[in-house]
Order: sequence, then structure tokens, then C-alpha cells
Amino acid sequence: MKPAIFLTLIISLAFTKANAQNLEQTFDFANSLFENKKYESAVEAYRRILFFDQENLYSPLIYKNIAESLYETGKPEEAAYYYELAYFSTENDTIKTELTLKRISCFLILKQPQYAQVELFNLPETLDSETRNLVTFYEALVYFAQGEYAQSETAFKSIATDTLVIESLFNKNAKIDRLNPKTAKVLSIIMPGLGQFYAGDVKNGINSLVLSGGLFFLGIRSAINNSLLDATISVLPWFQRYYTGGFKKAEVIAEAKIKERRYKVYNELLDQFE
Amino acid sequence: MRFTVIAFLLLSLSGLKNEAFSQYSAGKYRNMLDDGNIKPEFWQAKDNKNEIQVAFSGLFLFYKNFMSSQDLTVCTFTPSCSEYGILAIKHHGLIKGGLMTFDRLTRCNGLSPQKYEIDTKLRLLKDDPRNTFQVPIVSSLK
Repeated sequence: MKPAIFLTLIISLAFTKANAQNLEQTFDFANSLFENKKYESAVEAYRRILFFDQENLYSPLIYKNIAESLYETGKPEEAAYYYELAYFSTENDTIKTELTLKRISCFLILKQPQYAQVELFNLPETLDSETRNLVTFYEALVYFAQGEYAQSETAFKSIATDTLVIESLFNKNAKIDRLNPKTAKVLSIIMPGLGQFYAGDVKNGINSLVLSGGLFFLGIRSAINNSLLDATISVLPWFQRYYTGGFKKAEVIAEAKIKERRYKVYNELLDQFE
Repeated sequence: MRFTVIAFLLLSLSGLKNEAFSQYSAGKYRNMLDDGNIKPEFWQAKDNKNEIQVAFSGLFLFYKNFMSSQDLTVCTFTPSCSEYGILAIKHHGLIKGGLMTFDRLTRCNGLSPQKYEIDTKLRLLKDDPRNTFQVPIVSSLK
């Protein structure tokens, strides 16, 4: 009896058509998800196609959409990779420009302005005015991130509606360079806390002054009341630690202050374009 | 009525402003530059369960904010001695944690690096009070 049942089952298998989703169906499904802006699900479906598409029939068609979906779901690193694949799988120059612009956007989000600059060189000479403005905006950001402020200012001014605001912001930016971390360090060597005050960090300035001053006073007191040897052994190591820590920290604080102020100016610049 | 009209006009004005620069989507690039925030966050002092933990977290925060902040990294371990102290007290209680901290302070000299795993990123020796080892590193006396 048993062999007969198995035989029946196996023979019936041959007549049932395998009903798994094939690549074409997945492709249509992924595209419909993409069109309905369900990007996270679309990414999953596209990944399935990339995995099973051994003959490379569908992959060149989906690179752009998967990159777009990844970009929208906040994965710019992977998106940049697929934008590049999409770039090399198309012949259309307009699409190539569009893809390069997206790739630049990805690199800017990823804080990699040097890669964005390489992509900027990749763009064609002739562009329509809207794209040209976008490219100028990206150039301005790249120059600003790389510390080339004069070029950044020119670029920002050429697309801004109010150039006076841009100019005042860049004047504010130029003032940041007056703060020198080395000066802060030297000032703190002369007197603990002075470098921190110079950098504009009052809390750490007072902190360093009180700590080092207190230990200095303790050392002097110990030297008068006990002996110089006593003071050297008990207080000097502590004083040395907070004194050297203080002036090295002053340099670090000044560097951080420069970054903080630069970040503020940069965001005020961005406010002009939002 | 007049108020509604004025409000409508003002709202539409703000809409117009956004339209002009929407092509740049500048908001995406706000964090391209480093914001220069070097203020550390002390998670070790959070989630206190009893008064002793609150008291020691306060001491820890005082030390971190007013003493350690004026100093460079001098401890040879990660977590540093003060962090080890607060974590030990939180995980093992005041008596055992306190003893563990005293023990740690005597070890904080970098004279026997071969006995510890090294954190390659921080270049510091690893010694965490929360770790439990299946085989004791130092055999217990019987």
C-alpha cells in the first residue's frame, strides 16, 4: 500500500506547475512598491532580484531604482554604490548627469567632500540653468568643507538672492580664523586658565585656574610649614599633572571652539537656501 | 474674516519662500561639518537604583566634571578607574565594588600590560568590572 501512495504523490507532483514567484513577477512587484514610495520594501524586493538574477537580465534595469530607494531610506553609502552601477549601465547623458548629481549628494551627506569634488569634475560642461545652480550649490558646500572660503563665497553669491547676507556671514567666518589654538596653549602655560578664557570657555578657564592655583598654594604652604622636599613629593606631581593637562586642554578647547563656530556659520549659510 | 485673510496670505508667503530653494534640499547637508562638541556624556552615572548609587554617581560626576576634565587621558585602562569604580559599585554593591576599586587603583600603572587584553582602537588595557569569567583569572583561595 505504502509504495502505491508514494508513487501517486510523486506522479501528481509532475503535473503541478511550480508556482513560485519568478524574477519577472518580483521585478514588477518591486517596481510597483517603488512607484508607491514604499522604499524599504522595494529595497528588499530589488535585493532579491540582484541575488537570483544570475544572467544579469534585470540587474542593469534596477540599479537606479534601488539606489533611489536606498537614498530615500537613509543609506547613502550603499546608494552611492548603486548610483555608480546605474551610471555605467546607461548610455543616456541626461540620466548620467542626474545620477552623478545624486552621487554627489550622497557623498556630501556622508561627510566625504573630497569624493564629491571628484564627481563634480565628472559633470559635462553644458547644463541647463536649474542643474547649473544645483552644481554651484554643491561646489559651494565642497569648497566650504575643504576650507577654501573665497571660492565658496563666490559660489554661494552666484546663486543666492541676498548676497549681502552671504557676505556678512563670510566676514563672520573670517573672524573665526583669529582664534589660534597655539596662542591658547601659550597663554595657559603663562597662567592656567588664560587660554580657555581666550577661547571663550569661561567654565573650564575658572576650573583650571582654581585647580592649578589651589595646588600651587598647597605646595607653597607645605614648603613653608614642612620642607621643600615634602612639598616636592606630596604636591608637585599633582600640580604638574593639572598644569600640563590644563595647557594641553586649552589647545583642544580652542580647536573645538573653531569647529563649533564654523558649524554655526555653515548652518546659517544653509538657512539662506531653505 | 479679515484676520483669516491676513493669516492665509502670510501662510502662503512662507510657502512661496520654501518653493524657491526646494531644489537644493539644504537640510540634508547640515551635519557635513563637525559640530565641535567635545563634551562627553557619562552614561555610567545614569539609571541609579538606590541612594548609594545616587551618592556615588554624584561623586563620580563631580570628579569627571571638575577634576578629570582638566586632565588628559592618563589612566592605562578602559573603562578608566573612575568609571570602573562607579560600575563596580553598581554591579557588585558598595563593599565588594569598593574593594574592587581599591584593587584597581593599585593596578593602574601600566607595569603589567601582558596580563590584559588590549583595546586596539583606544590603545588602552581592557578591564571591565561587569565581566564575569567562566574560568577565574586569579584562582580563589581554598
